Amino acid sequence: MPRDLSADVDLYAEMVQSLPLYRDREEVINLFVMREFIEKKLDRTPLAGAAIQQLERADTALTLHSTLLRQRFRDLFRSCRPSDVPRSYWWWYLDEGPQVREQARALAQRS
Amino acid sequence: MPIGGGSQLEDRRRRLIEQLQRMSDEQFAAVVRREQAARWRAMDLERHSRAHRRDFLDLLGRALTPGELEALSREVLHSWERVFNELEPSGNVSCVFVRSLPEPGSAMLVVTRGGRIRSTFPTRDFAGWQHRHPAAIEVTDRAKGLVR
Repeated sequence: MPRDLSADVDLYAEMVQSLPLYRDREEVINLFVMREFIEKKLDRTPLAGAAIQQLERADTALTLHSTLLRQRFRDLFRSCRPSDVPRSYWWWYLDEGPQVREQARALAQRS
Repeated sequence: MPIGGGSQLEDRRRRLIEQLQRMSDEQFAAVVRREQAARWRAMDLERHSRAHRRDFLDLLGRALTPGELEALSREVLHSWERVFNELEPSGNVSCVFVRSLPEPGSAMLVVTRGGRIRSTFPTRDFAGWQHRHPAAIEVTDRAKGLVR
C-alpha cells in the first residue's frame, strides 16, 4: 500500500523543527529534497485538511529560519543550488529572505 | 544526468573529473579507504542523533542512540552499494556512501570529508537527492574494482 502523503508531511514538519541542530549542508539539502518530494506528490494526491494545515505551519516555520540558513549555509545557496530549481520551489531561495514563499505563490496565481 | 546549468557547479564537476583522471588507481583506492575509515566527532554524533531522530524512526522503525548511529555509519561505509565524490566549494573532496533501504526509492547516505563523518541520514527520495547534486560524480565502478 502506498505511503500516505500526510506521513511525509509529518516527517517534513519534524525535520523543520530539527533544522537549528543541523550543521552540515547535506542535512539541509535532504530537507529541501523532502519538501520537493511532497510538492511533486501534491500534484497528483490531494491532502486532507489537517495535513494541509500542518504543511502550512511547517512551511511558515521554515521561512522563519531564513536568516539561520543564509548565515550558516551560505555555500549551499551560492555554490550548490542547481540553476534549474524553479522559483516555485521557494525553499531553495530562502537566502533571499522569507518573502520568496509569498512571491512564489503570487507567481503561481498569475500563471 | 543534467548538470543544472550553474556555472560554478559545472566548473566543480569538470575539475573533479580531471582530478579523478589524474589519480592513479592506487591513489584513488587510498582516498576511498581513508574515507571508509572516517570517524564521527563525539559531539557531532550526539547532536546528529538528536537532529535526525525522527528520520531514522520513519525509515528504520526506531530512533538511534549515538552508539547505534556510529555502528550504522560504519556498516554503510563498509557495505556500500554506490559511492559518489563531490568537489566542494572549499576545494575539499567529499565522499557519499550509499546503501539502499527496503522502501522503494529510499537509501541511507553517509557523507565523509577529510576522514570525518559529516552526516548520516536516510532519504525517502534518493533519485531526488542525486538530481539536486549535479556536481557529484559517481565512482562506484572504479571503487568496487579497487577496494572490494
